[in-house]
Amino acid sequence: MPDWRSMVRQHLAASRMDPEEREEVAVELASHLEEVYEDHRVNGFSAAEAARRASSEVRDWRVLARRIRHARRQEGAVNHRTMSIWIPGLVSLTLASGSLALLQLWGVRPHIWWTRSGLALLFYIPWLLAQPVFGAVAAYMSRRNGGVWHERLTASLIPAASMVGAFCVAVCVAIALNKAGGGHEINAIALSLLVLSWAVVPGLALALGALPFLAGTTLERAELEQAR
Amino acid sequence: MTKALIRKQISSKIARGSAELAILALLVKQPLYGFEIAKRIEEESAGALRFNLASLYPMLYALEKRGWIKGRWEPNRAGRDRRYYSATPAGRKQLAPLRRQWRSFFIALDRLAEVSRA
Repeated sequence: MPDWRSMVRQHLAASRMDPEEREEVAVELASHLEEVYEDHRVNGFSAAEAARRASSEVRDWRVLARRIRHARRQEGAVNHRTMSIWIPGLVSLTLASGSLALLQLWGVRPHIWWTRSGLALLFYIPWLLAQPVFGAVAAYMSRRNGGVWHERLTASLIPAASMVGAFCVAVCVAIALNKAGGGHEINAIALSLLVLSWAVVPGLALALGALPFLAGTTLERAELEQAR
Repeated sequence: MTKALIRKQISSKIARGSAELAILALLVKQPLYGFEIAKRIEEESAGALRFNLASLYPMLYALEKRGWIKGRWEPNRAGRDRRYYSATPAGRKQLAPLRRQWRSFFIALDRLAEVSRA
């Protein structure tokens, strides 16, 4: 029979439970797996098949450990979302906007590329080069806080998403002003270039930085649905 | 909020609510340990409700934290420690309103969709 207790201990080792609490949970879960295994054996399954079936009781140990921790502390999903998305995202956003403000304060000039139609694509190259670092910081923090891959990616993309949000607000205001008769025409190409230089390209750079932190260990692969 | 999210939340609430009722209804009768709870629920619901380890224990710990059930370790003859859960007085009190809520829910659903005649 597999050593369920050491297997469960190993799976729960990275969880943020107190050692005493973790051990108690490990003993209880291992005992459950032993019973499942024995039940399958009694029902005629081979040792290997019984072990496989018992192991399939848990698809993602990381998610299970988090759910158990939340259940024992009565934490809600909102708290998890805050820890895995909003706080890392806010850190990344602060770093991105703070560094941009510093560059402007130090008088760093943006790199401008002119299009054939006379419109400008504006890039702060040092700021753009720093984006992967900010994306990596957010994804790393999210992973530490138990975030799954899409939460890590979301956290890292929050600075770019904020820019998209800001552009949406600006467009809405411009449309409202147009309707009131006092605004300017919205140039769709200029707007696209703005989105490209301030949201799409930085977003790609942020995602690039987050990439090494998106892939987890084999324990982290299963989906979140099981947990919710 | 998207329709998919609302549907997911409703389905998650139904699943959680039905699990709470199933576990409490078993534990008011007698103390049981985790594997037994899962097995009994599956048997008594004719396989309609099934708990695996990943779905059962977070629920048990949440109910325990809420004070509705209480776990205690007991050694058995095979030398394997088992944690037996039993319903607390607070849990027993919760069972009647939970049953009423579910009865009302099924009656309402039946009226609406004629589930029993489907």
